[in-house]
Amino acid sequence: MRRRSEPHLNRDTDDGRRYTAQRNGKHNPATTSSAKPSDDRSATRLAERELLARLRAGDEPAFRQLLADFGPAMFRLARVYASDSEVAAEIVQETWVAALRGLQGFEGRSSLRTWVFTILANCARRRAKMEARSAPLSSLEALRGEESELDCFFTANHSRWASCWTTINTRWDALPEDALTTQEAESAMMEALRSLPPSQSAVIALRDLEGLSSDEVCSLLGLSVGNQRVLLHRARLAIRRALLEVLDDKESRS
Amino acid sequence: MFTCRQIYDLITEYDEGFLKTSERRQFESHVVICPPCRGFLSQMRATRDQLGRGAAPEFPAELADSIISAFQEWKSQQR
Repeated sequence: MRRRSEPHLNRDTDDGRRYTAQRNGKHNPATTSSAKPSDDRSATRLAERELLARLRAGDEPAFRQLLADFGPAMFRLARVYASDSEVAAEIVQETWVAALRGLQGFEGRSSLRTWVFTILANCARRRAKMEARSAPLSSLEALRGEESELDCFFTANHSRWASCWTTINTRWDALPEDALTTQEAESAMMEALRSLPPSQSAVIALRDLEGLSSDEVCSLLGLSVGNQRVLLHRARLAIRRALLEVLDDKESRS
Repeated sequence: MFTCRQIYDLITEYDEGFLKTSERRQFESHVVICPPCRGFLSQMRATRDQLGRGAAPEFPAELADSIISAFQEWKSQQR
Protein backbone atom coordinates (compact mmCIF):
# COMPACT_ATOMS: atom_id res chain seq x y z
CA MET A 1 0.00 0.00 0.00
CA ARG A 2 1.35 3.36 -0.92
CA ARG A 3 1.24 5.59 2.09
CA ARG A 4 1.32 9.31 2.09
CA SER A 5 4.65 10.40 3.33
CA GLU A 6 3.98 13.81 4.63
CA PRO A 7 6.85 15.95 3.45
CA HIS A 8 8.75 17.59 6.24
CA LEU A 9 8.58 21.08 4.87
CA ASN A 10 6.40 23.42 6.87
CA ARG A 11 5.45 20.74 9.24
CA ASP A 12 4.10 23.45 11.47
CA THR A 13 1.33 24.03 8.98
CA ASP A 14 0.19 20.53 9.60
CA ASP A 15 -1.52 19.99 12.83
CA GLY A 16 -1.64 16.29 13.27
CA ARG A 17 -5.39 16.21 12.76
CA ARG A 18 -4.48 14.61 9.50
CA TYR A 19 -4.95 12.05 8.17
CA THR A 20 -8.53 12.02 8.79
CA ALA A 21 -8.55 8.66 7.09
CA GLN A 22 -8.40 7.40 10.61
CA ARG A 23 -11.44 9.23 11.82
CA ASN A 24 -13.62 6.81 9.95
CA GLY A 25 -12.20 3.84 11.67
CA LYS A 26 -10.13 0.90 10.88
CA HIS A 27 -9.76 0.92 7.17
CA ASN A 28 -6.22 2.23 7.30
CA PRO A 29 -4.55 -0.34 9.47
CA ALA A 30 -1.02 0.72 8.63
CA THR A 31 -1.46 3.89 10.66
CA THR A 32 -2.93 2.42 13.81
CA SER A 33 0.44 2.13 15.50
CA SER A 34 1.61 -0.64 17.81
CA ALA A 35 0.51 -3.92 16.23
CA LYS A 36 2.27 -4.95 13.08
CA PRO A 37 0.26 -3.83 10.06
CA SER A 38 -0.20 -7.36 8.82
CA ASP A 39 -1.58 -8.56 12.16
CA ASP A 40 -3.85 -5.62 12.25
CA ARG A 41 -5.05 -6.20 8.77
CA SER A 42 -5.81 -9.84 9.28
CA ALA A 43 -7.67 -8.96 12.47
CA THR A 44 -9.71 -6.50 10.47
CA ARG A 45 -10.33 -9.10 7.82
CA LEU A 46 -11.47 -11.57 10.43
CA ALA A 47 -13.85 -9.03 11.93
CA GLU A 48 -15.21 -8.33 8.47
CA ARG A 49 -15.81 -12.00 7.77
CA GLU A 50 -17.72 -12.32 11.02
CA LEU A 51 -19.73 -9.24 10.25
CA LEU A 52 -20.51 -10.52 6.79
CA ALA A 53 -21.68 -13.85 8.15
CA ARG A 54 -23.97 -12.11 10.60
CA LEU A 55 -25.37 -9.84 7.93
CA ARG A 56 -26.02 -12.74 5.60
CA ALA A 57 -27.82 -14.53 8.40
CA GLY A 58 -30.11 -11.52 8.69
CA ASP A 59 -28.77 -10.21 11.99
CA GLU A 60 -30.58 -6.90 12.36
CA PRO A 61 -28.43 -5.39 15.15
CA ALA A 62 -25.37 -6.02 12.98
CA PHE A 63 -27.07 -4.28 10.10
CA ARG A 64 -28.09 -1.35 12.25
CA GLN A 65 -24.52 -1.01 13.42
CA LEU A 66 -23.27 -1.06 9.83
CA LEU A 67 -25.81 1.57 8.89
CA ALA A 68 -24.72 3.74 11.80
CA ASP A 69 -21.07 3.33 10.76
CA PHE A 70 -21.43 3.97 7.04
CA GLY A 71 -24.66 5.95 6.81
CA PRO A 72 -23.50 9.49 7.61
CA ALA A 73 -20.49 9.32 5.30
CA MET A 74 -22.66 7.86 2.54
CA PHE A 75 -25.22 10.57 2.93
CA ARG A 76 -22.56 13.24 2.85
CA LEU A 77 -21.03 11.77 -0.28
CA ALA A 78 -24.43 11.52 -1.92
CA ARG A 79 -24.97 15.20 -1.12
CA VAL A 80 -21.94 16.00 -3.24
CA TYR A 81 -23.55 14.45 -6.28
CA ALA A 82 -27.15 15.32 -5.65
CA SER A 83 -28.77 18.70 -5.99
CA ASP A 84 -30.83 18.34 -2.82
CA SER A 85 -30.98 16.16 0.22
CA GLU A 86 -34.10 14.32 -0.93
CA VAL A 87 -32.28 13.03 -3.97
CA ALA A 88 -29.28 12.23 -1.79
CA ALA A 89 -31.51 10.18 0.51
CA GLU A 90 -32.84 8.28 -2.50
CA ILE A 91 -29.31 7.53 -3.63
CA VAL A 92 -28.41 6.16 -0.20
CA GLN A 93 -31.60 4.09 -0.06
CA GLU A 94 -30.97 2.72 -3.54
CA THR A 95 -27.40 1.87 -2.54
CA TRP A 96 -28.50 -0.22 0.43
CA VAL A 97 -31.12 -2.03 -1.59
CA ALA A 98 -28.49 -2.87 -4.21
CA ALA A 99 -25.98 -3.86 -1.53
CA LEU A 100 -28.49 -6.23 0.10
CA ARG A 101 -29.30 -7.74 -3.25
CA GLY A 102 -25.60 -8.35 -3.83
CA LEU A 103 -24.72 -9.38 -0.30
CA GLN A 104 -24.85 -13.15 -0.75
CA GLY A 105 -22.67 -12.90 -3.82
CA PHE A 106 -20.13 -10.50 -2.31
CA GLU A 107 -16.81 -12.30 -2.21
CA GLY A 108 -14.99 -9.99 0.15
CA ARG A 109 -12.21 -9.18 -2.29
CA SER A 110 -12.47 -5.55 -1.29
CA SER A 111 -13.48 -4.28 2.11
CA LEU A 112 -17.17 -4.05 2.82
CA ARG A 113 -16.78 -0.31 3.01
CA THR A 114 -15.11 0.01 -0.39
CA TRP A 115 -17.75 -2.25 -1.86
CA VAL A 116 -20.65 -0.24 -0.45
CA PHE A 117 -19.08 3.05 -1.51
CA THR A 118 -18.53 1.71 -5.02
CA ILE A 119 -22.22 0.94 -5.25
CA LEU A 120 -23.00 4.39 -3.93
CA ALA A 121 -20.73 6.05 -6.48
CA ASN A 122 -22.41 4.13 -9.28
CA CYS A 123 -25.92 4.93 -8.08
CA ALA A 124 -24.99 8.57 -7.65
CA ARG A 125 -23.45 8.84 -11.09
CA ARG A 126 -26.49 7.27 -12.67
CA ARG A 127 -28.71 9.69 -10.79
CA ALA A 128 -26.57 12.68 -11.69
CA LYS A 129 -26.83 11.72 -15.35
CA MET A 130 -30.59 11.41 -15.05
CA GLU A 131 -30.79 14.75 -13.39
CA ALA A 132 -28.77 16.05 -16.31
CA ARG A 133 -26.54 18.19 -14.22
CA SER A 134 -24.60 18.15 -17.41
CA ALA A 135 -20.91 17.50 -17.29
CA PRO A 136 -20.08 19.77 -20.25
CA LEU A 137 -21.26 22.82 -18.34
CA SER A 138 -19.32 21.92 -15.23
CA SER A 139 -16.19 21.18 -17.22
CA LEU A 140 -16.50 24.52 -18.89
CA GLU A 141 -16.71 26.24 -15.54
CA ALA A 142 -13.72 24.36 -14.27
CA LEU A 143 -11.79 25.34 -17.37
CA ARG A 144 -12.64 28.98 -16.81
CA GLY A 145 -11.35 28.61 -13.30
CA GLU A 146 -8.07 27.25 -14.50
CA GLU A 147 -7.67 29.94 -17.10
CA SER A 148 -8.20 32.72 -14.64
CA GLU A 149 -5.67 31.03 -12.40
CA LEU A 150 -3.04 31.72 -15.04
CA ASP A 151 -3.41 35.42 -14.29
CA CYS A 152 -1.72 34.64 -11.02
CA PHE A 153 1.62 34.22 -12.75
CA PHE A 154 3.90 36.56 -14.60
CA THR A 155 4.68 35.33 -18.09
CA ALA A 156 7.57 32.94 -18.65
CA ASN A 157 9.55 35.66 -20.42
CA HIS A 158 9.03 38.39 -17.87
CA SER A 159 12.34 40.17 -17.33
CA ARG A 160 12.33 40.02 -13.56
CA TRP A 161 9.51 37.78 -12.33
CA ALA A 162 9.34 35.07 -15.00
CA SER A 163 6.73 32.46 -14.01
CA CYS A 164 6.46 33.95 -10.53
CA TRP A 165 3.25 34.61 -8.65
CA THR A 166 1.58 37.96 -9.19
CA THR A 167 -0.19 37.41 -5.90
CA ILE A 168 1.02 37.43 -2.32
CA ASN A 169 -0.82 34.30 -1.16
CA THR A 170 -1.60 34.91 2.46
CA ARG A 171 -0.83 31.96 4.66
CA TRP A 172 -4.02 30.25 5.68
CA ASP A 173 -2.46 28.46 8.59
CA ALA A 174 -2.00 31.89 10.16
CA LEU A 175 -5.63 32.89 9.75
CA PRO A 176 -7.93 33.21 12.74
CA GLU A 177 -9.26 29.79 13.65
CA ASP A 178 -12.74 30.34 12.27
CA ALA A 179 -11.93 32.22 9.07
CA LEU A 180 -12.51 29.14 6.94
CA THR A 181 -15.39 27.73 8.91
CA THR A 182 -17.88 30.50 8.29
CA GLN A 183 -21.22 29.60 6.75
CA GLU A 184 -20.15 31.51 3.68
CA ALA A 185 -16.90 29.61 3.29
CA GLU A 186 -18.65 26.31 3.89
CA SER A 187 -21.28 26.92 1.24
CA ALA A 188 -18.76 28.28 -1.26
CA MET A 189 -16.77 25.10 -0.75
CA MET A 190 -19.75 22.81 -1.27
CA GLU A 191 -20.93 24.83 -4.25
CA ALA A 192 -17.48 24.57 -5.84
CA LEU A 193 -17.45 20.86 -5.09
CA ARG A 194 -20.75 20.35 -6.86
CA SER A 195 -19.74 22.29 -9.94
CA LEU A 196 -16.60 20.24 -10.51
CA PRO A 197 -16.56 17.72 -13.33
CA PRO A 198 -17.92 14.47 -11.84
CA SER A 199 -14.60 12.63 -11.95
CA GLN A 200 -12.94 15.40 -9.95
CA SER A 201 -15.71 15.72 -7.41
CA ALA A 202 -15.75 11.96 -6.86
CA VAL A 203 -12.02 11.87 -6.21
CA ILE A 204 -11.85 14.85 -3.88
CA ALA A 205 -14.99 13.85 -1.99
CA LEU A 206 -13.61 10.40 -1.28
CA ARG A 207 -10.10 11.57 -0.50
CA ASP A 208 -10.62 14.79 1.42
CA LEU A 209 -14.18 14.54 2.72
CA GLU A 210 -14.25 10.87 3.55
CA GLY A 211 -10.55 10.44 4.17
CA LEU A 212 -10.05 7.38 2.01
CA SER A 213 -6.52 6.53 0.93
CA SER A 214 -5.27 7.07 -2.59
CA ASP A 215 -5.26 3.30 -3.14
CA GLU A 216 -8.82 2.89 -1.99
CA VAL A 217 -10.00 5.67 -4.26
CA CYS A 218 -8.13 4.26 -7.25
CA SER A 219 -9.69 0.85 -6.85
CA LEU A 220 -13.09 2.28 -6.06
CA LEU A 221 -13.22 4.51 -9.11
CA GLY A 222 -11.05 2.38 -11.35
CA LEU A 223 -8.41 5.06 -11.82
CA SER A 224 -4.66 4.86 -12.25
CA VAL A 225 -2.62 6.40 -9.46
CA GLY A 226 -1.42 9.18 -11.75
CA ASN A 227 -4.88 9.94 -13.01
CA GLN A 228 -6.29 10.08 -9.53
CA ARG A 229 -3.59 12.52 -8.52
CA VAL A 230 -4.27 14.84 -11.43
CA LEU A 231 -7.99 14.88 -10.67
CA LEU A 232 -7.29 15.53 -7.01
CA HIS A 233 -4.90 18.34 -7.87
CA ARG A 234 -7.38 20.12 -10.14
CA ALA A 235 -10.19 19.64 -7.68
CA ARG A 236 -8.21 21.03 -4.74
CA LEU A 237 -7.14 24.00 -6.85
CA ALA A 238 -10.76 24.73 -7.68
CA ILE A 239 -11.90 24.51 -4.07
CA ARG A 240 -8.99 26.64 -2.94
CA ARG A 241 -9.98 29.22 -5.52
CA ALA A 242 -13.53 29.25 -4.22
CA LEU A 243 -12.26 29.80 -0.68
CA LEU A 244 -9.90 32.47 -1.94
CA GLU A 245 -12.81 34.39 -3.38
CA VAL A 246 -14.59 34.23 -0.06
CA LEU A 247 -11.57 35.39 1.86
CA ASP A 248 -11.03 38.01 -0.79
CA ASP A 249 -7.45 38.50 0.15
CA LYS A 250 -5.94 38.67 -3.28
CA GLU A 251 -3.45 41.45 -3.36
CA SER A 252 -1.16 42.18 -6.20
CA ARG A 253 2.53 42.01 -5.55
CA SER A 254 3.51 44.15 -8.48
CA MET B 1 15.37 25.21 -9.65
CA PHE B 2 11.62 25.10 -10.08
CA THR B 3 9.62 28.18 -10.94
CA CYS B 4 6.53 29.20 -8.96
CA ARG B 5 4.46 28.01 -11.87
CA GLN B 6 6.02 24.56 -11.54
CA ILE B 7 5.44 24.53 -7.80
CA TYR B 8 1.81 25.24 -8.56
CA ASP B 9 1.66 22.23 -10.87
CA LEU B 10 3.63 19.89 -8.63
CA ILE B 11 2.18 20.64 -5.24
CA THR B 12 -0.18 17.69 -5.06
CA GLU B 13 2.51 15.30 -6.22
CA TYR B 14 4.71 16.71 -3.50
CA ASP B 15 2.10 16.43 -0.80
CA GLU B 16 1.18 12.93 -1.90
CA GLY B 17 4.81 11.92 -1.69
CA PHE B 18 5.22 11.17 -5.37
CA LEU B 19 8.15 13.38 -6.24
CA LYS B 20 11.53 11.79 -6.73
CA THR B 21 14.08 12.69 -4.09
CA SER B 22 15.88 15.14 -6.36
CA GLU B 23 12.62 16.81 -7.36
CA ARG B 24 11.51 16.98 -3.76
CA ARG B 25 14.72 18.73 -2.83
CA GLN B 26 14.29 21.21 -5.64
CA PHE B 27 10.71 21.78 -4.58
CA GLU B 28 11.66 22.40 -0.99
CA SER B 29 14.57 24.67 -1.75
CA HIS B 30 12.27 26.81 -3.85
CA VAL B 31 9.49 26.99 -1.30
CA VAL B 32 11.82 27.79 1.55
CA ILE B 33 12.89 31.04 -0.09
CA CYS B 34 9.57 31.93 -1.72
CA PRO B 35 6.84 33.41 0.51
CA PRO B 36 4.05 33.29 -2.10
CA CYS B 37 4.70 29.60 -2.67
CA ARG B 38 4.71 28.96 1.07
CA GLY B 39 1.39 30.77 1.23
CA PHE B 40 0.08 28.69 -1.63
CA LEU B 41 1.23 25.48 0.05
CA SER B 42 -0.56 26.46 3.25
CA GLN B 43 -3.68 27.33 1.27
CA MET B 44 -3.77 23.97 -0.48
CA ARG B 45 -3.31 22.14 2.79
CA ALA B 46 -5.92 24.24 4.55
CA THR B 47 -8.32 23.48 1.70
CA ARG B 48 -7.70 19.77 2.04
CA ASP B 49 -8.10 19.84 5.82
CA GLN B 50 -11.14 22.09 5.73
CA LEU B 51 -13.00 19.65 3.51
CA GLY B 52 -12.46 16.85 5.97
CA ARG B 53 -13.57 18.97 8.86
CA GLY B 54 -17.05 19.75 7.61
CA ALA B 55 -19.70 18.12 9.71
CA ALA B 56 -21.61 15.31 8.09
CA PRO B 57 -25.14 16.46 7.41
CA GLU B 58 -27.65 14.95 9.77
CA PHE B 59 -28.65 11.49 8.66
CA PRO B 60 -32.42 11.70 8.21
CA ALA B 61 -34.28 9.46 10.65
CA GLU B 62 -36.90 8.52 8.02
CA LEU B 63 -34.10 7.38 5.75
CA ALA B 64 -32.69 5.12 8.46
CA ASP B 65 -36.18 3.70 9.04
CA SER B 66 -36.79 3.01 5.41
CA ILE B 67 -33.38 1.33 5.03
CA ILE B 68 -34.10 -0.87 8.04
CA SER B 69 -37.43 -1.81 6.44
CA ALA B 70 -35.59 -2.69 3.26
CA PHE B 71 -33.34 -4.92 5.35
CA GLN B 72 -36.30 -6.65 7.01
CA GLU B 73 -37.93 -7.19 3.67
CA TRP B 74 -34.69 -8.60 2.27
CA LYS B 75 -34.39 -10.86 5.32
CA SER B 76 -37.90 -12.21 4.87
CA GLN B 77 -37.06 -13.11 1.28
CA GLN B 78 -33.97 -15.02 2.28
CA ARG B 79 -35.82 -18.08 3.50
